[in-house]
This record gives sequence, structure tokens and C-alpha cells, in this order.
Amino acid sequence: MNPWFENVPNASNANDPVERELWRELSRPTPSPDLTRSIMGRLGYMKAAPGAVRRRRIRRWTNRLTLCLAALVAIGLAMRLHEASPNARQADGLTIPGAIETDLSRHEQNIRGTIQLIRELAPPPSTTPSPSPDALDEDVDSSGVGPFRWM
Amino acid sequence: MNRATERTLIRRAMGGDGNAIEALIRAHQDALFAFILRMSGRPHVAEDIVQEAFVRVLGNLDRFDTRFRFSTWLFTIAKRLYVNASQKQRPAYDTDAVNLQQGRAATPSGLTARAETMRNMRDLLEVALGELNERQREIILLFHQQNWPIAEIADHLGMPEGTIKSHLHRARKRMRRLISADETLHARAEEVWS
Repeated sequence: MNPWFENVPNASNANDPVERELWRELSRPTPSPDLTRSIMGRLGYMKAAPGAVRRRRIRRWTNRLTLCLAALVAIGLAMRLHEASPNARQADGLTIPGAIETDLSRHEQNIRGTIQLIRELAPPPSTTPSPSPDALDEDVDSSGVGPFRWM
Repeated sequence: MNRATERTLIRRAMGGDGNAIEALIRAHQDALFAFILRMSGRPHVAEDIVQEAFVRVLGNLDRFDTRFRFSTWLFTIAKRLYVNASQKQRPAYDTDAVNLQQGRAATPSGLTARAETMRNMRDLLEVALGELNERQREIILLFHQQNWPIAEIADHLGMPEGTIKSHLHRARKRMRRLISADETLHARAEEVWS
């Protein structure tokens, strides 16, 4: 029975057993058919086992990936075929790949030129023979005055 | 279900969580079915309306204003659907069908004295409810069956609380008078409370 019943003024006779029984009967829970499944179905939900859900998810992602790959392959193939066909339009002026190639070859030439310049500026190798390592050692030993030797 | 749990479920349901949607349906379907069954008097009409109301409400959860209760919104939609359905097909109170629905779980087997009393009580209730106008029946059901406070009923129906109390009073008085005036009903009532 509604807990607010006693607080409503003019609520007929709240102590009347007939009324009390009526309201008790009215508030008795009514068993209803379980409509969950049909409502969920209409909303687009379907009950499935966790395993089936996982399999379905994997299949869905596999399908998406396959579709993406197929689309990429198709686009690549179409581009190749188009480039190879005689009807393919050629660029009128300088293209981006052409510009990059020109730029790279210019850089290469500059670097080669710089290396050549460095070689030309370097002094020519000397013709007098250098003293042998043994001669140097002898010289050092003879000039030594103390018991020490420089290492 | 408290409001915090309800809000959490609604938030999850908005994100497409099937378990939350199922929980919302399970929490409200019995009350809504009982209400519409008493309003329409026809179990199959009540089933259709309950289903349609849930589909509409759960399909438009993004429009739900969290300041209000979910049940208030659900009952409003169901009531509108009921009004539309009753305009197409005038409702005829099928007391036997309502009783059958009511007694399905309550009476295990045989006609015990208690079951007979319950049946008489249900008969009294059905006849008395059937004699009320729609507005009075709705208020009686919301108050006595759904246990809604007066303020919530007033808010739901867009009426002042005083008007609701007045309707409630008149409806009860009318039901009581009907039971007392009808000899058969009165005899049944005497039988029940003797």
C-alpha cells in the first residue's frame, strides 16, 4: 500500500477494511510476460554466448581488413594500368619527382666540386726521407742525464 | 532501483551497453505492464503498448532529461500510446482476462478459500475500476498500484497537487459507493470481510 496513503487529506476512510483490502489487492504485484527478448530484438540486440560474440568480432575485423587491403590493391593496380596506358596524360611542365631529381643531381655536382677543390688546395707530399725510429731512440738515450727516462 | 543506479544504467545504455538496457527493461516492465493492463483491461494491448513504449524510450535515450525519473518518462510515453490505441479501438474491460493475468502466479492449484476471497476481491476491484473515468483510474493506479507520491503524480499529469488529491478522493468515494450500491457487489464484499 502507498506509504503516503495516511497523509492524504479526505482519503475517504483510511480505516475502512473494504478500502484497505482493495488497495492491498491493487498494489499486489502483477506477473507480466517477459518482454525483454522481444524488446531487445526490436532494438537490434541479440543474445549470444561469449564465444560466439568473440568469433563474430574477429570475423568482423577480418572482413574490414580484407576489404581495406583489397581496396588498396585495386587502387594501386588501377594507377599502374593507367600510367602504362597510351591514353595516360603526361605532365606539361616540371613534375614533383622531376624537380626532386634535378635538385639531387645539382647537390651531387656541388659536393663533387667541393671535394675536388679540397684536393687541389692540399700541399704536395715531401721528397726528403723521414728519420728511422731507431735513430730517434738512440738520440734520446744519449742525451739523457739522470737515471730517468722520458716515456 | 535507486536514482544513482538508474542514472548509471542510463549512461551505460546510451553507450550501447546491452546489459544495461536489459536491466532497465527488467526493472520497469512489470510495473508498466500492470499499469497498462489495469488501464486498458486487455493483456495483449498492454503487451503491445509496453513493448512499443520501451522501444521508443530506449531508442531515444539521448533525449532523456536526467532531472526526471526514468519511470515517469516511460509511463508518459506508454500513456500516450495507450491514448492513441484507445482512440483507434475503444477499450473494453476484459475482467476475466485481467483476473487470469493477476491470478496466474497467485493461485497455485484448486480453489482454496483464500483464492476464492482473492478472486472476489479482484472482481470487486475490476468492476469498480472499470466504472471510473480514465483520469480517475489513472490517478488511482499511479497512487495505489505504483505507489507514486502525490507530488510526482501532479508533475507527471501537469496538474496541481490539490487537484490530484481531489480526483483521488472522488475516485475512492465513487468506488466505495459503487460497491455499496450494487447488491451483488455488496454481497461479495460482505462475504469477503465477514
